Amino acid sequence: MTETAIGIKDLAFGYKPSKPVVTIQEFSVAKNTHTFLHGPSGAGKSTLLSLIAGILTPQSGTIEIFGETLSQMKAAQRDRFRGDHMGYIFQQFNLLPYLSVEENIFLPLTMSPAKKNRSSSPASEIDQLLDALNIGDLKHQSVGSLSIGQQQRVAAARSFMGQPKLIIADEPTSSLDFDNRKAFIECLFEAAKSAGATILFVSHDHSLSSLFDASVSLSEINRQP
Amino acid sequence: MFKIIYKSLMNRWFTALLTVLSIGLSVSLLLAVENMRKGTKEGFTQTIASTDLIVGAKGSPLNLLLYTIFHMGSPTENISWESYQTFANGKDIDWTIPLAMGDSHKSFRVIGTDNNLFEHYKFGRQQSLTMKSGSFDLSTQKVVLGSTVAKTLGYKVGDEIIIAHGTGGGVSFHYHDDKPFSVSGMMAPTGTPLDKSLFISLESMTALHADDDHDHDHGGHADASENEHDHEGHDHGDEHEGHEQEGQDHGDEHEGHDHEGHDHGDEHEGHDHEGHEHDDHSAHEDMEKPELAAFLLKTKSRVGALPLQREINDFEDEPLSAGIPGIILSDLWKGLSYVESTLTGISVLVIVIGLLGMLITLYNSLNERKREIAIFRSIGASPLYIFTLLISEAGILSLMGAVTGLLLSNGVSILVADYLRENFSVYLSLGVSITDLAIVGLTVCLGLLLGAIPAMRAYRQTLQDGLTIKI
Repeated sequence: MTETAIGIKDLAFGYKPSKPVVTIQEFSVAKNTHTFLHGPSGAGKSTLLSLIAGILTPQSGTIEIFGETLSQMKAAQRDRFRGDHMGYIFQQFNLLPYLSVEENIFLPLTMSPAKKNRSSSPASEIDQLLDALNIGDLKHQSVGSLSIGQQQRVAAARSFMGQPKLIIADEPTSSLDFDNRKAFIECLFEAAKSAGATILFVSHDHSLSSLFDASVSLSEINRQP
Repeated sequence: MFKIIYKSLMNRWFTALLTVLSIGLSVSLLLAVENMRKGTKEGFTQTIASTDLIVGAKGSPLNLLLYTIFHMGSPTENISWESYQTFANGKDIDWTIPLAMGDSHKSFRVIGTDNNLFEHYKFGRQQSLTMKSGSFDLSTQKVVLGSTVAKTLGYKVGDEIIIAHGTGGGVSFHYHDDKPFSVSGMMAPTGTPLDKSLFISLESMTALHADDDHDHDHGGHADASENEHDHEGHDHGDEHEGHEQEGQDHGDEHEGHDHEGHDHGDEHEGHDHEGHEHDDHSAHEDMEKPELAAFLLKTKSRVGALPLQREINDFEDEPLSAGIPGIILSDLWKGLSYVESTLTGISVLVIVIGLLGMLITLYNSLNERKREIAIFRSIGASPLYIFTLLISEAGILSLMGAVTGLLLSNGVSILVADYLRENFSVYLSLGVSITDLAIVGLTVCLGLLLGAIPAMRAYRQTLQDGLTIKI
């Protein structure tokens, strides 16, 4: 019996309550698995991720992350929970241009005391992450000089910093070519394996699904009324 | 967090710099206007410092002050020498400064006075009069120049000048060109109307006026009494010919203009005695006893000023009025206060405009910064954190702007303080005053208030947009 990382029940959300965008009866992600969530553009992928991250709150239903019910928390608690237990990778523009690569990766620790506590030696943790993601030589470069692929790896390194248990990746590979996508995902898995993290990976690109433990189609679970 | 704000601002250093400069310039404008306003007020109300009373003929004390000190208008009545003596010699009087007027030189007023002026007159911050060159020598036919007069007309010590009767701005003057005055000294700038004055002794002025009377009365005819005056002036003939040069010395005048056939030997030797001679020979009383337009007075004990003011106002021998210069000047200044409020109002508006510039800059930057905000949100930042981030930025920009303005206005003040004091009697205060700090504080508060607008917008966006970066 595997523990559940993400458990969603009877979820309904719409930016306007009368027009729900996401309506999910049941969806769960097992702990320590790599789940591939795919769906066409506009299917509500990013909205679902914002709900899971606790930035948006559902009109009805529950979202549990590692047994904690997000929908019962106050906004500030959800922000804290996200900072403490999640890592997030955007589609693009993940990095603050005025900080160095190292400072960008270090950023989550400045926001979350829990992540800082878990990271007994941030300097060596950064080195390990950079090695795992094959970007050990980028540590002192400026963000502006990185290619998009390199930027995404730095973003991945940041998401793992402080050992969060859930990594949410919102189409992180859509701006990469195929070879780079595969390499990126392999690096991601490598880092997740050593960190013991669960990955929820969202993309509209079906061809990647074979790399994951599980593959879920959003259009199947998201039933519009 | 401040490290992040700092780096974020440094990343946009050019717009940040422009914003700081624009706020800085507007703050310095307000500070400068405030400083100028106070300095002008101080200079103005301290045009006569340490004088307890200004005494003149019955009338409005304001009018009295205007014509004696600011050279606006002319005295309605003169006051007699006897009255002056009564009060000048009164007990509890520290000093008096007599002021007689009615003559001018090239549209600058000539004031008849005595050495007390130089000794006791104080202006601004209790400053005494000082000489730039020469000495404050008011002996017969000597004239001391105010700094503006000296500068404008380019005189040197020893130059001879001719004084004209009347102060009407150059129309139908009668020139006392029979009695050139030689410049004995030039005063250092005071920034008061004294700079635009020439000073001669009361006796010299009386002599001039006596002469005038003759000219007007007799049309330049040589008669018994005129001869007397002729001796004093040495060149009465020139008045008829109208070509006398200023530099001509007395010797020449006697040789050349002795057409009236008088023997002047003894009279030439001692000009100081002119008055007495006239007393003996002429019917004009003003020759001996100069009439004054006003006099300034200081009591030994300051509390004595008020009873004395009443006493002077109730003086029975001659209708007099006395006013306290500080109060009159303050009243006059209050009458002009709409000018200062206008100035202050304008400079406050300039600050608001400077801060609105910051608001626009911050607001415009919000779009570019959406990803920055999303990144912070993704790592656990609350909307409040985003709000604080943005409003701190506004606070830092306005604080830096205000401090820049403070430094700027102080720097400029230091550079121009001496110039303004000497030329315009504006006393700039250097250093940081409470008002300055208040202005800085208000600017920062206003900056935070305006900065709250983009911060609120970002706050709402973070709540609505979720974690998508919409660009």
